[in-house]
Amino acid sequence: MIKISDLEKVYRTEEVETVALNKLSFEVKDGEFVAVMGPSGCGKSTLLNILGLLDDPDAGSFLFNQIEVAHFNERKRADLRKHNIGFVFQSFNLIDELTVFENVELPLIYTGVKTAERKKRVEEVLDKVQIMHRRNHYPQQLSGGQQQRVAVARAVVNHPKLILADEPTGNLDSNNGNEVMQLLTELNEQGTTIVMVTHSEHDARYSHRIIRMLDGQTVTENILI
Amino acid sequence: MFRNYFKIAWRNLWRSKGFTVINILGLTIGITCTILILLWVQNELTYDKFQKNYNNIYQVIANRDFNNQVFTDRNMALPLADALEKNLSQIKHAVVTTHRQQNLLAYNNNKIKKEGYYVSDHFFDIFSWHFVKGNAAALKDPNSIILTEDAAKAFFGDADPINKLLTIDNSQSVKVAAVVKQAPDNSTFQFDWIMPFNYNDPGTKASMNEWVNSSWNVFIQAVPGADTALLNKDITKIKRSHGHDEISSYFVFPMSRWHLYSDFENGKNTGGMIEYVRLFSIIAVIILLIACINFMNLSTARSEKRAKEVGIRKTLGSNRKQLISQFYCESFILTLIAFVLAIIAVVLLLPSFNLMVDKHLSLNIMQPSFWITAFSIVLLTAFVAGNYPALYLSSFNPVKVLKGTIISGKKTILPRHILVVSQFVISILLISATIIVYQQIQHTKDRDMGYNPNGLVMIPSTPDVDKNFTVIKQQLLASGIISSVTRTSSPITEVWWNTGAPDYDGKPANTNIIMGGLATDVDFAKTMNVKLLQGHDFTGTPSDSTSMMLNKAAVDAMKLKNPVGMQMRYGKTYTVIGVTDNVIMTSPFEPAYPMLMVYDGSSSGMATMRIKSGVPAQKAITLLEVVFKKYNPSVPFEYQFVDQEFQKKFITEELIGKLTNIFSVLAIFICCLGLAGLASFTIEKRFREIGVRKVLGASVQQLLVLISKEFLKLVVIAFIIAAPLTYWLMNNWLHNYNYRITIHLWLFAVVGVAMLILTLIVVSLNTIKAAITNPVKSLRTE
Repeated sequence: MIKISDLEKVYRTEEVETVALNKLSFEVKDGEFVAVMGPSGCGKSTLLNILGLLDDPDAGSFLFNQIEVAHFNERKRADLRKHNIGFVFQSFNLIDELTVFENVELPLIYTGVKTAERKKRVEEVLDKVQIMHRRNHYPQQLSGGQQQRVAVARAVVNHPKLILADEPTGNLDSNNGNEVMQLLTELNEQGTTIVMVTHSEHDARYSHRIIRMLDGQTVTENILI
Repeated sequence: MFRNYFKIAWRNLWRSKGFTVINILGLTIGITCTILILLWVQNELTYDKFQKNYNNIYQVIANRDFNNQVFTDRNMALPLADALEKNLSQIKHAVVTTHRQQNLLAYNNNKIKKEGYYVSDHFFDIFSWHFVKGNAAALKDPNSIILTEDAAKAFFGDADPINKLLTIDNSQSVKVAAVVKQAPDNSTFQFDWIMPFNYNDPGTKASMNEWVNSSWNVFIQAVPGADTALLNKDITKIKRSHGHDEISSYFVFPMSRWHLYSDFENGKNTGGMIEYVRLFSIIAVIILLIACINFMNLSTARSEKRAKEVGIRKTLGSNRKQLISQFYCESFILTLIAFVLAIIAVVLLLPSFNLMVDKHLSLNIMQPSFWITAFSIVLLTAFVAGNYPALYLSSFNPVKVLKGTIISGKKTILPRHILVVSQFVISILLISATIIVYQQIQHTKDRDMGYNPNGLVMIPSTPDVDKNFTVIKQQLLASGIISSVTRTSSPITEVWWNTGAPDYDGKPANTNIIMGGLATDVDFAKTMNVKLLQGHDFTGTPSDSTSMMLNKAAVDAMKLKNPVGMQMRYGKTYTVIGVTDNVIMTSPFEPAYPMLMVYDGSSSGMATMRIKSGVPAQKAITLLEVVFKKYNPSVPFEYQFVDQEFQKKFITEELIGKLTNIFSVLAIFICCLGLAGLASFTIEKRFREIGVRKVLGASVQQLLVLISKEFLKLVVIAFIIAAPLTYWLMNNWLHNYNYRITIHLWLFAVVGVAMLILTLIVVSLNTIKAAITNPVKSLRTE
């Protein structure tokens, strides 16, 4: 699914040059669940942004489903992204002005799914994350765990091949955190590839493989199964 | 404390430069417009106020009832003034004057046409004028003339004009007896010279016993506190005692109403310039208000940014009053900066504005009234603009704000939307009004005038012109440049002779039809390109002296079935020989005036020539100059193009059109500024949302639609309010004109769509940046 080699990303300000990714290479196979760990500033988020086609690398190669996408333009990236990738953020990033249902519905609108089909799919996925009863509530009326379940529902409603999760349990207590991890595991078992950035060893243990990063490079890889 | 307020206010304004620039620009434009309009309004409102007897001066006017159609007439009989002064104790002085007239004044070979009035004795007792040389006694000598400074300078340069001799119209010789200051802009009387009536002149002498011929203006100075109702009754009684005049009732019209309320309709004083004074005063306030609304909207929209500051200040012990003062300080500083810029703008713009409104307005910064007005504008603007933001921003609960549990700005959305909608309503109203005014003018200009004003040249007649008319005509026609020549008692663009309809068999009893009269030579219809509907034009044969032509409006008003061949008793008996199409000679906004035309082959007021088509106007003028200089040597050559004279009938309407046009463009510009500011704040607030949506696959277009939708909704609401409002207002305005357009509904559709597009452009320009920003950035702002 993903193959990156010698990926480089450097952030420059007027005075400082920060190397975020330094000739990073690894591979993620179809159906894998990979956790990326490392201290703050090691390049995890940059990596996730590039994997999510939100940002492009300065050098190196990025094969997504055997297609070189490292230098795709904005439109091609957006197109590839909305059909193939779902995101889960630490801070949920739900839109306050929209209800649970409408939040989850958004990706389907942007991929041009018809109304009736949208309704069916949103209800399906809300059912799956057990938040159906809150479909007409607004994000601020929900608990953190419920909000993240909505975010997960939104990430998967389009049946993406890849889910990128950025510390999905970072803002949750352990009960709610476990629920979300359970949800991700189920999705993975159903065939979705997951790359998750986390600080939590506990969460990382849900994955198949842990990639540990430092200063923009892979330090070790632990294979858990 | 105030220093601290100013410091903080200044820094805040400096930090949010976009906000500051939008507000200062908007307020500057608003205040500039307001000052310009106020200068104009002040000039209009102070007409004639420099007259010492302002409150006691009246003009004597008559309402003449022609079969229930009342015609208000300022023309009076010559002896009326004297009779009033002698017989009525309420009248201190009465004076009679001619209409303003143009005479050829000559000093040696320096001949210039100058305008002025012949007046009776007490003119300078009633009207105050500043004498530079000589005094009011100058009027005592019938062979004297009083000049204005400019006129004196034109003839004598810097030499002393007193006792110098001027020749009037190449005949009478008069002595300069006094020099007065030029009449100010806002004076009803505008003149280069004043001369006393010469009662020794046989014509004038005869008129002194003539109570029917009414060709003069009569003014009175009443005693203070005069009973005008009684005066009206007494004047009417005196007039009637000098002969049958039952259809007229006389009344005194106060000086304070001469300029602003000059219109009469069916005997009722209906208004006049005052309507435009009111209209533009309202527009001035509205434009300033739009700028204030920008300030309110932008201040509350960015309240989130200020909320934390308010919280901290309150925690540190500031009370609400202090915070309110601080926010007022900000609006005051902004307004003050805008005011200074506006004054600069006014100084720069005044020359062109004066040119447009045809006045000599100036900023009198030495006058205390200027500073009082200026101070009021600044304070009022600062207060109106700053009021709502100050009260709102200072109301935040510090605990909630600092905890971040308050979502500030939410409460202000509805008021903000109402304010934006009102801005749009004003914009739509002003654009539609501009278009309607323009359409009305264009519609009237395109009206069939009944003749062809293009390629017609008029030259005022003189005794020499009349004497040599035949040879002038021959030479002009022989040149191949002029295709036709005629002469008339008055220009084709004016009616100088108002009269009742002639008597004829079958004329219904009690019919009083007001008609215009015109004396013409042969070739009238041919030269003017007037269509003859029946019969023929004057032929130049002796029978012309008993022939009469009527226009279609006259035939209709007199209810004639077969006018040609009918006998008309009008002094003597005339036979109707022809009926012409209607010619629009008076206001083009009114129905055609009924006209009768009689033949005069020996004297005239105006010679009119038609230039052969295809001949350049300049070539024709050169020829005319040569010919007229030869046969009319004593008068400087001057000419007028009929089409240009005709255009002058639109001066007021075109001025109104231009002013509304300019002010609506400015109002819309200020609205757009505010809109741009609001859009950028909205986007700032929704930055994260935009990022999230992008991550989820939203395209740039979809984001533009999302943000614009909010504003477009407001435009639609504004449109629903503005369209009927405009329709109602403009329909009322159009009812001032008899000849008018009907307002088409498509106009509103066009304006509505234009407004939507404009909004879309303004919002898109602001949205596009956020929409194409990499969402990584917006999500990192968390």
